[in-house]
Amino acid sequence: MRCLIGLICLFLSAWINTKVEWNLKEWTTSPLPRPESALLLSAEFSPLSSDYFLMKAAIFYSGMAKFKKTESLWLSKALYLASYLDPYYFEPYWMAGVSLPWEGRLQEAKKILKRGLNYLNNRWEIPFYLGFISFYFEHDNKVAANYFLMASKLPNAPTYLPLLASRLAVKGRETRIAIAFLQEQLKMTKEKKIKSRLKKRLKALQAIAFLERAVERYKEIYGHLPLELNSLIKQNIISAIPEDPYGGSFYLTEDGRIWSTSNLR
Amino acid sequence: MGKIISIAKVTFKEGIRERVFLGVLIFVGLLLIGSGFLADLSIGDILKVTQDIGLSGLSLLGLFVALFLSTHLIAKDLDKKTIYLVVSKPIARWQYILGKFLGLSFLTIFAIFVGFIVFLITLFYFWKTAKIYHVPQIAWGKHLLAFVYLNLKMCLLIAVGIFFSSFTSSALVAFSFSLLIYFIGANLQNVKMILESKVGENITPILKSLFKLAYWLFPNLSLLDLKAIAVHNLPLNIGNLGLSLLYGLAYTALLLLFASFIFDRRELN
Repeated sequence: MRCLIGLICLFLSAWINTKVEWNLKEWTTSPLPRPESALLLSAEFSPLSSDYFLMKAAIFYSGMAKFKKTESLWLSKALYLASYLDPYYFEPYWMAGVSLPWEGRLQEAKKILKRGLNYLNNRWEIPFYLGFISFYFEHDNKVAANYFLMASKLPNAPTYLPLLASRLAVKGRETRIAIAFLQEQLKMTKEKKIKSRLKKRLKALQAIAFLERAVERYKEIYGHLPLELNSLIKQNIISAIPEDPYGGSFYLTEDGRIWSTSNLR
Repeated sequence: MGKIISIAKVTFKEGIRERVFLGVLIFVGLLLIGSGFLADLSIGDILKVTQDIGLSGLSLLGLFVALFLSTHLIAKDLDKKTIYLVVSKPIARWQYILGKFLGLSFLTIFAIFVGFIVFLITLFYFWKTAKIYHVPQIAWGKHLLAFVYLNLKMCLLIAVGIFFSSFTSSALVAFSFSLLIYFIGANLQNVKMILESKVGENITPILKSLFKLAYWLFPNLSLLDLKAIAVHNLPLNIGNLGLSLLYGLAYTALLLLFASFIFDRRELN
């Protein structure tokens, strides 16, 4: 009898195990506690809570193809929480700098990073990310140059930073600087899924840089901008328009910039 | 002095014999060994997470041994009437309290020391074999300092446990009160930080004054918590370090004085 009950229990648990599956999205986007409450509840173990929320954010970020507004808001809150619980932990700032601006969460990213400046004042990356946001997303070269200069004075900063700060006034270099930025970030993570996301973005930017160079070449030859990107093929400057890894198609804006219908999201 | 030492020895042996002590030691040992593998789930700096898990595990181990055994062993003495064997001998009650304190402190330090050695070996292994972009330097000296201060914190908590055991016979009541004091003590610094931030602007002045009172009254355990300094290799202020040490010792002595004062006047029947 006891063997029979044991067997039934075993089969029942095995059967339930095959039927029930946790939805990763539900687990990750569950409501987050207020930072102050989380700090008080975790008391001296707050660094461990910080690790937990960052891990949650990283799993969420690497598992999603596209973000809704509420989802990118959740991501920004989770990263703020992780940085609040352990303000000396660099990774939440890194993730905020590398993920949030591209999802349209500029203010949230800046809030997290500016807080980080107070705690990690020897990490060049934090002012570097702030500079990049000002430069690439807000087109505020003056503020960006100041941040890049601040970053260049900190230990282990790349040698090109002072040069970058001085060259900011030159137009049309945004894409190439963004490529350099992403290549720098790629070195910093071992997480395969986050790596593949960054590579996808890098591929899109490389395609834009390729088209920008072709447009420059067209302008050199004909003295004016092409009307559309297909003109570049017709005039044998390029053989084909590269594909946008985000599924959109590239187009030429009125001021001669290249952008995509997917908005790279 | 000899009497105090013999009570300490008996307490130490009694604690070691508790099965639950061995259980916790094994559990935390496995957690420490597995910390590097757990940390592998995180992004970027896995060594930071290894250190977080390790140092938090040591804190948990110390907390359990300090709070649980300090309240449990005295209540057991009272419950099983073994205390009469002690108080009928020419031993002052303050000597009993001090002996219990020393025995429990040695036991806790012993448990944390074993855990710390396992932690250091694990951390060294993962540090040497880490495959990350930027392998950080580990502040070994500061880890040692964090270990010393963790022990001091646990001695303070043992004194809290003994203080509550000095006037209640129930181990559960003494344990619950000690846990509450620990929770308040570990959060004093956090509450202070929150009150000083923007959130604090909406808090009533009465609550703020209450907090100020609590800040004076309860032990500020954050002063003895050097985990962040060790993990992030933050600069060390020698003056603060010395004052924190003095604070821990003074608070522990104060609690033991109160405990022996109360215990002296307690009816044991």
